[in-house]
Amino acid sequence: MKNSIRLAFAYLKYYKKQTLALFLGIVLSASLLTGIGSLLDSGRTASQENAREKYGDWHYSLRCDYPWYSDFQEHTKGKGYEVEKAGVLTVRKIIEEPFEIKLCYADAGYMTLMGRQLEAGHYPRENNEAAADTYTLKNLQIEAEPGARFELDGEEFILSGIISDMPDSEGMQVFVNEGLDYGTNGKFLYLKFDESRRVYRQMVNFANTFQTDKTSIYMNDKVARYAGGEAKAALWETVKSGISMEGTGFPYIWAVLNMYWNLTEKAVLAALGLFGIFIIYSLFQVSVIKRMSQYSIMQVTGLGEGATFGILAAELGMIFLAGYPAGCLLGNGVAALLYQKAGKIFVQPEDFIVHSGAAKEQAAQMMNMPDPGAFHFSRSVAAGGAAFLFLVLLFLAWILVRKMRKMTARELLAKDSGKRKNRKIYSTKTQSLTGVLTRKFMFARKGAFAGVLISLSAGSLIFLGTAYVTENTRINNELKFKADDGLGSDMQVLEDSDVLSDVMPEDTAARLRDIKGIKSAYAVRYMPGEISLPDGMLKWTSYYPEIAVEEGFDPDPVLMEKYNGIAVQTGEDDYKLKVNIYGYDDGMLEEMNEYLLEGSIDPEKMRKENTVILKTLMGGQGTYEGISLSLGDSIQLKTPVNTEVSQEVLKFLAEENQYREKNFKISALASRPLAKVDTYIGDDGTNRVDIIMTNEQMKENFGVEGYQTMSIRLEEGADAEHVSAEIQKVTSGIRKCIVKDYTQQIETQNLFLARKMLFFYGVALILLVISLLHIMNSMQYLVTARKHEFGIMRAMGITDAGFRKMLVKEGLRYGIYSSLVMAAAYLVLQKFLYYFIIHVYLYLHPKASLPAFPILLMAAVNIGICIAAVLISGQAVLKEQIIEEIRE
Amino acid sequence: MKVLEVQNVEKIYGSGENKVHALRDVSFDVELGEFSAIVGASGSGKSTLLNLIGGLDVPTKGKVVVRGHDVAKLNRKELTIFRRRNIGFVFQNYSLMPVLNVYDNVALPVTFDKGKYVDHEYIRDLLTELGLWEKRKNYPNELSGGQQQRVALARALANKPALILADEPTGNLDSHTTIEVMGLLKASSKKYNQTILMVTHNEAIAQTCDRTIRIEDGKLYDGELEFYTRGGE
Repeated sequence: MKNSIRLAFAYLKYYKKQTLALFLGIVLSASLLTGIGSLLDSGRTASQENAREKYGDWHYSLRCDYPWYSDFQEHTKGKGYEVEKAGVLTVRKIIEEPFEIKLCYADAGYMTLMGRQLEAGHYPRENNEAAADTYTLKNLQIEAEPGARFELDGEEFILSGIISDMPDSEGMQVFVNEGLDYGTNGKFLYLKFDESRRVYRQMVNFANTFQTDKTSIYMNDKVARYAGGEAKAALWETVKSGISMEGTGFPYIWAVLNMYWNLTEKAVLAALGLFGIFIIYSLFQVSVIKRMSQYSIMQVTGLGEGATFGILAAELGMIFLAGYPAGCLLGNGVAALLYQKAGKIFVQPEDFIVHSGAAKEQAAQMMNMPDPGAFHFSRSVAAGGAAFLFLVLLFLAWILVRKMRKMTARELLAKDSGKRKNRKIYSTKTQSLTGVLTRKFMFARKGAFAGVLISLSAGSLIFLGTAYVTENTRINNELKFKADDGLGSDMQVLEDSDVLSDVMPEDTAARLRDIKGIKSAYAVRYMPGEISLPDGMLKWTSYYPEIAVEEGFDPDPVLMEKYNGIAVQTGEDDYKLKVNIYGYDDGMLEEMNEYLLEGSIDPEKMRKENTVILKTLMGGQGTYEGISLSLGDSIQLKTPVNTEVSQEVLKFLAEENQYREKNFKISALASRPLAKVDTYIGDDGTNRVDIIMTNEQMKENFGVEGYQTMSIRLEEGADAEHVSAEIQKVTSGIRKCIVKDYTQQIETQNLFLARKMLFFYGVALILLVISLLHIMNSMQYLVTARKHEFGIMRAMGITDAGFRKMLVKEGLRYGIYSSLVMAAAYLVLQKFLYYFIIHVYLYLHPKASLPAFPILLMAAVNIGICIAAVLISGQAVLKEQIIEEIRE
Repeated sequence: MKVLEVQNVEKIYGSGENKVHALRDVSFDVELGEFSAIVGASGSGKSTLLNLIGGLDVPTKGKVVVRGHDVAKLNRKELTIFRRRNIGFVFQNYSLMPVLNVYDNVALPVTFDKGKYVDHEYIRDLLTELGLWEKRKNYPNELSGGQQQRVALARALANKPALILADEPTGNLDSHTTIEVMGLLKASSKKYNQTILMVTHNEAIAQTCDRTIRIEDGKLYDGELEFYTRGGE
């Protein structure tokens, strides 16, 4: 062992260049792996902290007005569970007008869990006192000053205190005194378990201890998911379901496993690890091959394979011991800097898209969201990476020993290998033998040639793959940003109501458009409706709990109560589906083109032919085949007879004279609606069906005149605060009309997207640089390995220019061949990625391929680098004495 | 007619403590058609001298003139072309291109001369005369040592050079093949009126040449007589 280490050290010292290349390879691989690992980990921790702030620092909640509660108060720590924090919210009353507001009493534990602090005044001490947050007060149009008087549900209150903003998981709340009791209380216990263990298991143990039904326990999934809040899917069960269940397959398996094991991050780290290994292997192989003959001699003199393995492992081990910590320092140093400057891009975006009121302070807060928190070094990635790389390095040493054994045998056999050799005499056919020599050098060892080509194309392949995913991520983010997050407009004026007669009058739109600073104001008309899907036209019946008949998949009680659910079965294969019907302005219809799946959008034609756009269902695998309706098909649409009908009519169970039915032809299919209305049956962008038409059609067909929402775009440089105030003035008299200002959020989002793209391209660029270093090293090896032959050629009289020309030809050939390999491999990779981003990551409208330019650019870079590398190495050959080269 | 003039050549490798005087004040001339042997012990400077004459290395002092051209005054390109057209090399380790067959190995130096027509008739004669015609499509690793050395010789003759520099051409060969190769060198020298300068440490082989130049410790002794009269043993 000692001898092996001594010999290995001597080799490292002697082959300084190779040692340095290997050291750099390990440093760069380790820095990339651990740096990105720490960035992802920091982002994840920040996401978790942001989620706590936004949704409250609790995992589960359940009703607690039962006898077990007193038992719990004495046993917050029990068998298999430990409650770290708990709080109780007592809902005294829920009022419906002017908004849905809970009047409640909260204990200190609840306030701490929800991060709600008293910002001014005091918590209600008397029964006529109340406290609330600024958002609720703003919507109730109450001055946010303690002492203000206001009326709620016919009762007068004095504002005793201002509470910090509510978390997203809760609705509007007004806090009242503990003594105020209307006799209709509901007590809810909020629990935060010890996060050092899976919280799901603790919740089950908690439920078992207190004999409560765990299905009635509500999970704060946005927070609990970071602490193992859901039951882990069994690996084998998931794979079995993925294979056996129709319509599931690989995307299902990936999606489920990703949810519980965070596969995407792990896949990124694994890819980086593999890339590092590949580079290290290539570099080490070059170094070892260079002195293969020495090992052979040592083996002849009695060095066993075990000892050879020992030397190689010791060499790699020594470089690894020096390189890995250096790489960790470098990677984490750069990552810490990057995180300091642009940590936001690593925090999951959905955690900071919050709805804000129009107040400037709230909007300004958005600029600071998401809070990236502090960078922290990921010990698990660094340790895991070290263990993984070290084991693989040992494996590489073993592979090389095996290869050495095979090579020596092959070389011995070479003289009598019986292989057919090309007996062609080239000098009788061609004037210059340099081209022949180049070809022969390249193809002399086909395996090595293939290896070089693969390694040359690997970097550019990764770069192109990243570029492809990045470009589609950009498109997807922008589309979802506008459609799902509703950030297509700077401001929105909307009716926060589920009463059809609550609309903005037509002239409001005109008045809004007249406000200085408003560029456009797209008005949206709305009507709920129902479509018939007979004879098996609705294929994805399992999407709706009302008709899915699946244990544990229960319909939303509110939707059932108010609208009789979304889907109704009327015959064996016949269904009726509640839909949102939207009327859009022409400008908004124009923007719908980005979400077009089939057909075309021509507002003029839609008006003339009374055709509609169908926003169809999007499946869990990014497909749109849930309803067999296509272009030109007719749909029968049933709507309330007018907007004055009672709430009961929206269940579509009233007398037939309460409804009207109309047929429409489908002129286009779309993947998403714009300017959604959430206050009726909801619209999550995926499993609701929408019918979209022009505003004129809405008026003509259904008599809808008022507007449900207005999407407002501001002129460049307009004062958003001023415009917001003006809008408030125009809409102040309209019932349940609220204004939302997204300007700061849009700015933040755009900044976030730009930085995220920059980061992706940055990582791709680093990978490319590493692979370029690798190309340089490989090409240098190719040249130096033939020093003897080049020495002969120089002695025989090849000029320097002739020699360089020969090398350029070789570099060109390597560049072209590796570019061809890169292009072919990229086509396969692109198909794979396309499948993945559509079916697993559900990207909207991804491009099937990258434009030719980046591919050609990478090919040019490849060729350029190959030529430059051989020329640089060739220069070193020309500098050496011919006679020295011949003696090599 | 003088083909080669070596004037006061000195070659020093390294510097300071590691300084090695490989050649000291070496001067001699070689006439056209002369077959000379350079003999001496290992490390005496024979190969260094040959490399300086062939332009593969540069003298520290002195002058090497081949066919009237001062080798040191030629630039890299001129030197390369000059070497290609005037000097043929035969190395001890044959130094054949492993990826080319016999025929292409021999033709290789000619193909470096742009526009120069490869004289296939001549190559055919050479290979026939050297007994390699049947092996013309074979690769170096399919030949014996003697055959490989004959290929190297054929390659050195392919450009019809005036001067052939052979560095221990028989060093790796058995006695039978040695006689064969020596015979070929002599025959070639006669047939093409070529000057041959051959490095060897084999005294017997040196005796068969027209002239013996002895080098010991970097110093030159022209002929046996001079060597012994100046104290050589």
